[in-house]
Amino acid sequence: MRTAFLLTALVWTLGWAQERPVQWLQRAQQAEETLAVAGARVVEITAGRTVQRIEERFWRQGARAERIEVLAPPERRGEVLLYRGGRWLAMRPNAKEAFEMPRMPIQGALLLKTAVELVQRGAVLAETLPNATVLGRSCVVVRLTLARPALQRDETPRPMFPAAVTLWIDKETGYALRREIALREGAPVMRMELTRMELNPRLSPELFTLPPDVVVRPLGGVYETVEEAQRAAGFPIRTPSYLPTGATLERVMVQPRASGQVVVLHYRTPSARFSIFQAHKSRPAEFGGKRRHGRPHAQFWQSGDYWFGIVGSLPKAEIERIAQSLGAPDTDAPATGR
Amino acid sequence: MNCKRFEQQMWAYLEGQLPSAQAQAFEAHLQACARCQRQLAAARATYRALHALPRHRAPENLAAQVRHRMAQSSARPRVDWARVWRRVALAPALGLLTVAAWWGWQAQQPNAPINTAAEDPTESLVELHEQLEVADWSPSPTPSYFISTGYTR
Repeated sequence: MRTAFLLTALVWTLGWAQERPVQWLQRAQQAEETLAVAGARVVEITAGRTVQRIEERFWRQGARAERIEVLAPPERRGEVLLYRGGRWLAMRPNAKEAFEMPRMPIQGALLLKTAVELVQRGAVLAETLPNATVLGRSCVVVRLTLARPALQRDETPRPMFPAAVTLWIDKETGYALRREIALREGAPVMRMELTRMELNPRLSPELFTLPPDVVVRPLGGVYETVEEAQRAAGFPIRTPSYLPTGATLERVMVQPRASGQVVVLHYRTPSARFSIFQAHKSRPAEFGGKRRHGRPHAQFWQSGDYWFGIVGSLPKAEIERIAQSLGAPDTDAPATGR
Repeated sequence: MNCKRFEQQMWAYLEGQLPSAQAQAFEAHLQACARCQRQLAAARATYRALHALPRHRAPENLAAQVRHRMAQSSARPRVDWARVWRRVALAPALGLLTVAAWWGWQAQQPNAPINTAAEDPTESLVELHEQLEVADWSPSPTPSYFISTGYTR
């Protein structure tokens, strides 16, 4: 009888310990979707050795509407991003035209929604760390880690989720005041922190509305299909004849670089993302990089007047298969890769 | 293009003196290197501040006055030791001030190492992919927008 009681208490305790982080995640998701908040925040993104730092002010009405004003980098200061009616618009200060950004959901709640689902499925583990203070407010710190080991060692597919996420959730409101995200093993590559917060501010409808004389155009350089991007590329864009199961083309970008136009086909699968790069009449890219921990797989090669590259968090064998479907030489040949 | 070359060409770029091919390489590096973006922003602010200063017209006979004074000073080669000493004493003070200003500026810079991505085009593409990957998890859409439009335009 005593043993049964102890076992019940143990199971209940374990269950309670497991449930609490999920409850905080659910609270954070609800706060993100419903709270009216204004404030300022800093977002830092690290890619390789480059760190991009963005400072911005924001006003949001839950998941319904948001306005962002860029403070830094100084070259982009004053630019405005508006979300309303399911679309994001970007506008330079005092400009007479705004640009619609392709297929972008309001992003604050996306991570939290996915996290709740994956924790409930057991694909992501959630734990609470010692409490901390952000902006003078007491926060619960929730750390999420993938239940599977990172891709580099284990080539089996994993759910589409960062390797580790840490959230500082305001105890009073449930709002996530700080986030850190590591995509693969290693240090976080994205940090976001609120530097100022005002709860339930007075938000006039004009904040989320474009001035009446502003014309909306599609954002140049980003396209939803290869056909749309074709004209901007200036050379025939090649697409792979092999794609991993469930892979969909998310966006096509045409970027001017020193060596000419570079086309980027950005795909996502249920478990990973990968990008195919191609350019015309550029010098063959000799990849001299060392294999570094926590970086995606990459393969680059030249074919006639064109050069190609594939970078992604797919298993290496998949990267090679896609490359071959684009005409890459066998990996034994002197194509570069890691 | 690397960060050192970028620094050498920065002022010529701000003056609009760079040939177009060099300007293109300069801008490509600028797009990929956060450290140089900060440096260019600081230089641009200095450049604008200098240009905003009021302009004063030199007196008509300035050149004649200078020549006259030079002729006078060569006629009187006596050394004013007190003046020389004041200048000598000033030099270390100015040097210290310069070092302190440089140290202060360095201390404000994040510890980002010099970016070599632009030297290796494939590395910059790996970084672009990484930025695309992580931007989707950002609570703000601004990183995605900047990746599409160039971080500094």
